[in-house]
Amino acid sequence: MIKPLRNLHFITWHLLALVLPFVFVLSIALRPETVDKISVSDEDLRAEIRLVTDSTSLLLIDVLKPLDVASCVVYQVFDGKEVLLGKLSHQGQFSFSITRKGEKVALRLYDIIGRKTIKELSIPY
Amino acid sequence: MSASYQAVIYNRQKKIYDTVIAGSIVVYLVSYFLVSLTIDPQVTQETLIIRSTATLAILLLHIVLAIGPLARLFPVFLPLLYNRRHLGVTMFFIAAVHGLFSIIQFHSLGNINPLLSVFQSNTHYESFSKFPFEIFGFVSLVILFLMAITSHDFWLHNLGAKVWKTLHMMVYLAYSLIILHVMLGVIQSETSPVLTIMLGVGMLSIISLHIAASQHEYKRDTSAVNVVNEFIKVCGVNDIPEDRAKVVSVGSERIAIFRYSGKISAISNVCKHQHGPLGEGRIIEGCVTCPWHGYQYFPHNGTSPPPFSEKVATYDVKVIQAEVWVNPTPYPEGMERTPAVINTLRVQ
Repeated sequence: MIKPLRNLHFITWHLLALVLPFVFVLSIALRPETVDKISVSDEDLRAEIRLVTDSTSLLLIDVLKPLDVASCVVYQVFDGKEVLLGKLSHQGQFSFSITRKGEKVALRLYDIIGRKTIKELSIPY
Repeated sequence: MSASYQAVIYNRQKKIYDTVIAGSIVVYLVSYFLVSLTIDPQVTQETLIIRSTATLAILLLHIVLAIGPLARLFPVFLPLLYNRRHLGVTMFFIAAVHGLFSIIQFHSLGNINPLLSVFQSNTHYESFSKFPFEIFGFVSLVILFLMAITSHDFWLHNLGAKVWKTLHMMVYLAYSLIILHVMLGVIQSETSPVLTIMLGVGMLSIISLHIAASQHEYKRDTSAVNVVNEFIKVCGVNDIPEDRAKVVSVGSERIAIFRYSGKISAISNVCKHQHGPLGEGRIIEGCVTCPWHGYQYFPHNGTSPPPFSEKVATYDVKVIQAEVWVNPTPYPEGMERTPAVINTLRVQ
């Protein structure tokens, strides 16, 4: 490089050495808070959502008491739609992979044989 | 080095260089797809393309920006500089794929022009975390496009080395905009710290390398001697290795003083091609050879061997009692100067 360009390079990078780290730190400091684990619980069960990636999460359901229905399934409810996640068959822990859609996630536990909703849980994202 | 223009003049080294680039890109993209699909099987192909090309383009940009200062600080990296333009153009094409798919994915489904949508869909200019970061990416892509289309020696020759080099130094602005694009974009919603840490490490590495290289050059410039029209003592004859040069800073520029075949000659240190440091090259087949791209000049007259037409300034040089003296007043480019003869009996 010739001297004028060497000077330009010198000034540019000394300036960037101040500006870029400042912007970097500032953008992390002002980042909106993200919750990577949300849980709700009642006397029958405990549900927890753990963020795995930006678009997927892991839903953990801990059935705290023995079930009194023979066929309990779980639906993910969002934007007026329902997605069947799987079945809760006994007391214990179950995990399901869920897709993060919308601002709110609700769970509906449904008795297929009895054709009635057992419980609904709203989990704020 | 060529007397006429061709798309790319391939030689063995360029073929190896390009093969390594292409192979590395394929390995990276395949690995990225496999790992992403393992972690998140529901991810769409469009998202995979957008993310993989984004990370690859940033990685390549860091490599491109690291090569220059690394070559200035450690000559062992000079071979990487030789074909850096191919790496830069490749990086642009990958960044362009990222931009194109992002516009299709996020801006093509509305009722306004997708390009206008980039500027109109988000107007949260008052918010830091919701800032329309896409604009930074778009502007940096435009800069990279300008650099890519003017990367050929045709443009270097027609714009002149100074204008061309200044234009291509806009990559520093593009890099800054890309940092903003990432930090105000994906990092605002990314929950994993991996990307943030990698970008931070990359950014600090690039800044450190460029600061170190610029300080290195600054020290050489500030130690320059300000003498006009009189000889100055440079060094002992034996301080210059055979077929190599000693670079001396005089006034605003540098002079490369070469020792070869029992003689000493001095020419400008600035290569006509891309302002490469001729004094850091060596004499190959009787010609001073630029370490950056292999442009050649005769040491006694500063002209390129036929059929090439490049010329650099020459200087008077003399040897007195095994010490090299140079007159920093340049002669017109290409003017022949009689080399100083080394009295080998005295210097040994």
